[in-house]
Amino acid sequence: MDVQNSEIVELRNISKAFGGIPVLKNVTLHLRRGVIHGLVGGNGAGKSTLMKILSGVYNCDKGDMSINGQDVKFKRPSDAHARGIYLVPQEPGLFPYLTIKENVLLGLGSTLKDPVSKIRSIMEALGCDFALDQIGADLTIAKQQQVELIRGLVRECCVIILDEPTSALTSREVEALFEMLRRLKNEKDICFVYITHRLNELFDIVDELTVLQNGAIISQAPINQYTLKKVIQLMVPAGNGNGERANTNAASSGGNEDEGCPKEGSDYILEVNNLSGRGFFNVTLNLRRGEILGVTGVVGSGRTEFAESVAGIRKAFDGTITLEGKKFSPANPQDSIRRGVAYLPEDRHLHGCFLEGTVKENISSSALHRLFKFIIKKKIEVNLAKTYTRALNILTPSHDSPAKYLSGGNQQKMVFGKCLAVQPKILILDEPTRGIDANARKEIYASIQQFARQGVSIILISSDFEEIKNLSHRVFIMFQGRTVNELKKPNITLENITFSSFGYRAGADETETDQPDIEKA
Amino acid sequence: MKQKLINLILRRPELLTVVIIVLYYLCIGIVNPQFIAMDTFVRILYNGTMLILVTAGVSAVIITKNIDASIGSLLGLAATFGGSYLNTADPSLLIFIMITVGTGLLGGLFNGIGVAYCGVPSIIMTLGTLALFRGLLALYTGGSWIDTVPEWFLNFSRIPVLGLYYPTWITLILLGVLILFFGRFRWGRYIYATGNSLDGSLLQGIPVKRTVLLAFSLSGVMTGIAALIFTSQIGTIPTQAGVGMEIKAIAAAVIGGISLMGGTGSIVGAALGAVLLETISYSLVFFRVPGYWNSFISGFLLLVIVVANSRIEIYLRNEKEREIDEKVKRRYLQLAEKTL
Amino acid sequence: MGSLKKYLLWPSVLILLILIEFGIFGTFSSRFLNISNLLYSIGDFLYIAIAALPMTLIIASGAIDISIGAIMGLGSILTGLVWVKTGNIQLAFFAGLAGGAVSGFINGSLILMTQVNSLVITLGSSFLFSGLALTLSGLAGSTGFEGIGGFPDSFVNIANGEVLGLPNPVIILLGLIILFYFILHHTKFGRYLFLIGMSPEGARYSGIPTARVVVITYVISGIIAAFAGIMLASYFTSARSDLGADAPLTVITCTVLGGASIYGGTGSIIGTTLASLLIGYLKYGLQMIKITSHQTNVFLGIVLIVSISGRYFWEQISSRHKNKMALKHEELL
Repeated sequence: MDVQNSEIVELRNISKAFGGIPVLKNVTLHLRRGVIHGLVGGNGAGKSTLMKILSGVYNCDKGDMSINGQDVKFKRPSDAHARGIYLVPQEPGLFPYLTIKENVLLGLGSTLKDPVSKIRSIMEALGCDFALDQIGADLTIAKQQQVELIRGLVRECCVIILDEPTSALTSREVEALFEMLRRLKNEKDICFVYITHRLNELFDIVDELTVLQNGAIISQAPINQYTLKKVIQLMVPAGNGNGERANTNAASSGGNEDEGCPKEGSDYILEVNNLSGRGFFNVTLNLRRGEILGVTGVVGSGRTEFAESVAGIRKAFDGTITLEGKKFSPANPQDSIRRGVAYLPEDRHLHGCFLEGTVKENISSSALHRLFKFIIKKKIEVNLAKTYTRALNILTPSHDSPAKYLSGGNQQKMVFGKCLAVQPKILILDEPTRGIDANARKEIYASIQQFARQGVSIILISSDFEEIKNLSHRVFIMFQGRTVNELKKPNITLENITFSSFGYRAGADETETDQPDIEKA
Repeated sequence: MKQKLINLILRRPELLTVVIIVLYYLCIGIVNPQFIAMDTFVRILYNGTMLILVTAGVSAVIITKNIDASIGSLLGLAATFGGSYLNTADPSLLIFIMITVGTGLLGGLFNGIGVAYCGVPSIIMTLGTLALFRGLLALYTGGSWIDTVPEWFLNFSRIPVLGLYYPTWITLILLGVLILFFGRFRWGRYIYATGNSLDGSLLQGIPVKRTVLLAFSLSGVMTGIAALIFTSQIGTIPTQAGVGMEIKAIAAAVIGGISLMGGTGSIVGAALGAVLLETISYSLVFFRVPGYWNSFISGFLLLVIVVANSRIEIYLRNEKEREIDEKVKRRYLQLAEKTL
Repeated sequence: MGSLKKYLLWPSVLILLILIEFGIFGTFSSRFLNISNLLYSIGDFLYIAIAALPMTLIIASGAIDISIGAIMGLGSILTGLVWVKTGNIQLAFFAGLAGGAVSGFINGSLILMTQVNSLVITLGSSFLFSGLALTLSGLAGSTGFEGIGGFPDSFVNIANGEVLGLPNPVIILLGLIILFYFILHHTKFGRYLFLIGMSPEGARYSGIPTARVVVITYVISGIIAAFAGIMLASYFTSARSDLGADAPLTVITCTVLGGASIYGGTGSIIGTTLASLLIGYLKYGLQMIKITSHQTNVFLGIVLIVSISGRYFWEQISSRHKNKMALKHEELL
């Protein structure tokens, strides 16, 4: 017991600022052997920054740390590796064109005598089923994560940091990962730091929990002293007692269940018939005016590919789209935007916003064709920016401050505003709340409902089944590239969504079947 | 089978270069069978040594996702410094080599320090040094040529050994060393890793800055060695020695399958790219195309090859994705059949 | 106010540098600091200053155009060729511009078609264009690097004459500066360029017609480069295929020194103009104190490298300072 609970890492009064904005303020953290330590907090709470300081990626501006009682100062990640600390980043940092063996051994130096046989034995212990000479790009995300774990284990690390390890895994892969972590914890006495946004996972895997908010620790205790509700409440900014889930529940399952929901039998604004394209095929669905239509499924089910075809970003091979009774086959995003279809992309940083641009430039970017013929009139643009920063409560010093200084949540609200500036009839939201803090999430939910009430038809694509359940009037579920089920109001339950997403009929046997329900319609 | 072929081409882009070279020879061979002869090949390898060397060097830089546009001037500068030493009373071969290759190394180090430690984007840094090195050359020579290279040094590249000339042998040996370096040595793999993913490399504790510095130094050294061969093959060093070499080298590397996005490509491919370019310009001389057409035709062919290369790559990538789609669709249909 | 300060800071530094430069050359040569001398010497680097304007557009959009030097030669040769063959100078002038437009169109469409880095395509096409220029000059009967001369006075006058006491090059430059300032900073097209430069994918997702914008920008660059080449032919009273061969490096130096980020997304016509004056007078002044243009390259390279690395270190230091202040502020609270 003594050995198991001995402290390895101590971080004292760590502070760090970026671009003049403090991200961590006097954080003190203790990590012990054989313990899985959960670390949660809204985006921008400083979890990732804290861990990057611990693993030598960043230098802290203030504070110090000690390992096994010795004071240390890391200048680069290899210093941290040498002291037994390894960070598994959110997106596994495998080199796509190098082999797995090279991926594991690069940067290791030549301290090991027989590294290959060591990797083999670790792979055997973890039950990995890939070969050492495969290249990084060939592996699934789950397997890439295993490679990252192997990297840490080959280096004899005693502290392994996992940053959102399950965000791209299927539930089966998550189970396998947890099994692996538990075994390593018990057998090798390794300390894991586990960062996640999926709070229910905490209770399956974590032993101790630290909650960060705005760069400071606000709660720290063994996991059995928490409930899910308590954790959520801790993460909601001060002054607001409601948990985020409770709040959205109230919004949709409360008194207004039928109020916002468009009537059965009213006209469809968008009909998609047997649409096929890269990554999806035979997608059939329809959308009413003012409706929030949930589209969900597991990662890789073709949701984003389908949405991008409607938004004109990629071409469909086959099938038809009917928009307001007229045939619609967009050749490029301009076509879609001009016909009133706005798309909020899944990848905010890559496709959604212009980080170097100002808030004003971001908001007007999709609407320039509508507002200006040739010359940009400053006043119109400023007014547009004002309208949407106010409507969506985007917190920014001014319209002229660069988007990169906004928090993730505010950036997402800004991209949301950019889509609204198009004045769309149909708004396709692809993972609108991924990776943003609870408060911004709540505001986005409210905005979605508000704009649906104003008559905008919304397709809400999300991996978060609760979000789908709470917001949608109707739900289509996609599985392996096609729509497999349509759920209407009383049947929209987490159980039904989950079963359909994995290609099962709710309540059926464990055989892998899927529901061609759509065919009947 | 088809999938395997596509994977092979995606992973080994230099195979395409081989195919293009063979096709080019066949086309020329149909027009004039005399072109396909051992002598042609020996000539091309002899003329191409400089280009092959600098292409191999610039490839190291491109693999790290940087670019080196200063090669032409650096080659001229190294040749000038070395050549002016050869003009002194009793030059020793060793010191001459040290001066020439050392100039290349210093130039490469300068580029590398600017890029890795001073935050200058590589294209700007090396365009800057392209001007800087050429200017230094002009300042040093005052605009006059160096044209008195000793006979013994000129003979060095004129007497064949085992069918090939010394410069060709040196190039082949150096290529072997580089292939070994990139394939087997830690720092060679670091160069690939840095170009593959900068963030990933940092996390793995790879000394990224030193790796970039190494790549630029390598390019500088190869340029220095090319300058040695320039001095021996050409015999005079004009003030515009090496002008345009950087364009040829970058083009050869790209044609040989070195991706400008970094992280992929091989030294063999780069060398093949250089051979292809050299073959084209040799064939123009072979057919006695008037001098001023040369630049036009090689520019045209170069663009055609770059365009064809990229179109083929885009097509293959699409094919590969379509295959995956088909697989998913088949699996789905099989499942649906079972349930019906 | 903060952002205003940032916008004005760099141009002020450039103006200061120009003044220092004038001071230094003034002490070397009393002839240098003569107003009419300063105005007339603009003709010497007019082609650089002109070509730097569209280059700012291209670099703002995150691309680059190395082929402008070759297009300058091609534009001047085309003008010369058509003049020799038809004797119609207007037709010749527009033939030159059309050649530039076609060259730019080829660049733009090749970049779109292949999705290869613009650097490589324009490096390759500069081979093609300069080869074509050389070939055409061969067709015109002047072999190799010989020029085509014998232009009428009306043509020679374009770059050498004056209106109301102002040399023509100054008027041409001013007109183009105003035009490009307007295009880049006040039109939808200019905004599109910046957005594409910040994030090409983001621009596509935002419904910006990126393909069209890229092609139009290269066509503009081609036309202006050809125009610069024609101005060179007018200035030197002869068209040569290698006119402007040294231009790309200087033009890129001016643009980047003027504040455009080589990664795209920023750029300023004012900055570019000031940098063009700085570099242009540097070359001119060095020539006055008997330093050849080849040797001037040393200074050019140093200016380019030092200005970029200087900005990098400046940003590092200022952000470190800002973070320290922010944490101090936090502690006080």
